[in-house]
Amino acid sequence: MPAAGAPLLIDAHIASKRHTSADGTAVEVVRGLDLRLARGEFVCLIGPSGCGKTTSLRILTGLDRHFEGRVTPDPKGLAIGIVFQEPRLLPWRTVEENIRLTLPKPLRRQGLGPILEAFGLAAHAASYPGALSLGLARRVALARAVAGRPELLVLDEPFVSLDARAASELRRHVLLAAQETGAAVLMVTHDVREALALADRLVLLGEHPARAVGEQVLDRPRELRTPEWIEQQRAALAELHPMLKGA
Amino acid sequence: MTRALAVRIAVKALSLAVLVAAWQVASAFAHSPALPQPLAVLAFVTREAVSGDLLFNLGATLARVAAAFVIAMAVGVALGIAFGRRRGLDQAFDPWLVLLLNTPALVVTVLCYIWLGLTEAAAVLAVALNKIPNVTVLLREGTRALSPDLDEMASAFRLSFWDRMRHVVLPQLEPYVAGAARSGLALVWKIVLVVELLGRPNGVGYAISVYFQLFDVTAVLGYSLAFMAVMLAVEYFVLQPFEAHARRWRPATH
Repeated sequence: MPAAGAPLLIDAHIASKRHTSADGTAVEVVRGLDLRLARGEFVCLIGPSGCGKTTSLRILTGLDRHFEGRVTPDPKGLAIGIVFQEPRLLPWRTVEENIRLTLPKPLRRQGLGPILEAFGLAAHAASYPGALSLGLARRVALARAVAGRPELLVLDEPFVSLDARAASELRRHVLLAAQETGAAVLMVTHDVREALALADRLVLLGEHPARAVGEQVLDRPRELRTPEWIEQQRAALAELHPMLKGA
Repeated sequence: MTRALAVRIAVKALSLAVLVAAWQVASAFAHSPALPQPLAVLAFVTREAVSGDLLFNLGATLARVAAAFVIAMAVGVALGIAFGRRRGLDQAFDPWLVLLLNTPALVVTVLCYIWLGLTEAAAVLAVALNKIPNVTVLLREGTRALSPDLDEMASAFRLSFWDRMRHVVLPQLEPYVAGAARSGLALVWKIVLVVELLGRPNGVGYAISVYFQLFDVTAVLGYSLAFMAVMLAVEYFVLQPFEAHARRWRPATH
């Protein structure tokens, strides 16, 4: 639950979501997942790989509408910035064009210098994605997601395949961008330490089918979350939820 | 000019020279008006060019080719994308497509002339109708191969219909459009000649039909080769540079 009195951005109840497997049988991948997200709140969905985290994100962002339940308001009306598990850049557009294209029309004429600079992309603005490393392509995807000043920033394991220093730097930029715009952030990760460092609230998902099995509200300010504190919290969580051991 | 480019041009020029030489030898052996010498054909082309007839007929044919090509590509690309995106539409109209694909060009041309009269519109429509099914089928396959990941990205970022078409869909279809354009141009100009032969008072097809009745092979070859040269110029100076521009983002491969 978000903090009492915080203005709500999304109120979702996914009663059931089924996928049809190759042999034609329906498999339930999400059941009874309730999620409320306040404006400006940073929520991490944590769970084992393949437990339905990404499916839940797709429903919450309106990309998948074939489910039982409701998401209010209709996410189609929300300004969303999203980072998929893969960068999903347009290979025939330069880095700068990839970012500019996804901006709302009134923002398309703005200079992208500051955001390219912040994400370490200034020297690659005119490059095509085919010439970038995966790490750089991930930076572009992150820059693209925050550039449009979204109300909701959705991040699906955005920092994987980045080296530790780059990941830490980019986490800081994402947090700054979210704080500056007041965007709510919904991030999927299976890295508990990352979630403990960033989130206001953790939602733990169980598997087969995905459902909420626990929730943890974290203290602010984030600056007080030392590596020792994170380690303590992680150990405590792993005791409560054995599925998180080693995550 | 790079060395590789110079070698490529030299090889092509040599290949053409061998073909002309073979023609020269064959005509010398045949010694018949049915196979005139290359120089005789060149002399005819020069005469027609000086008199203005060649340019007039080439211009008329080229205009018909351009009109039919643009209509066929625009309609074929739009239908191909629609059929590739909407399964219901594809299922409903697939029989029409198969029927049109298998209708001989001659039948379509004759019917257009009968229904619309011996007019310019009928001629252009007949050529376009012959090409539209090919473009549609090619683009339908291309649309089925579109990346669902990029489609989802475009939905997530709320791209407008036109932005999605221009920046996401059409660049993915570019190889299919280029293929359809290249094969389309070759098909269209051949059909235009048949259409002119059947019912137009000018153009390369009309000129060939006149000279055929006079059994003037030199003139038939002269007009054919002149128009082939125009089409080759379009291929090398319009289509290929356009394709190179559209593919500039691809990493160079050797």
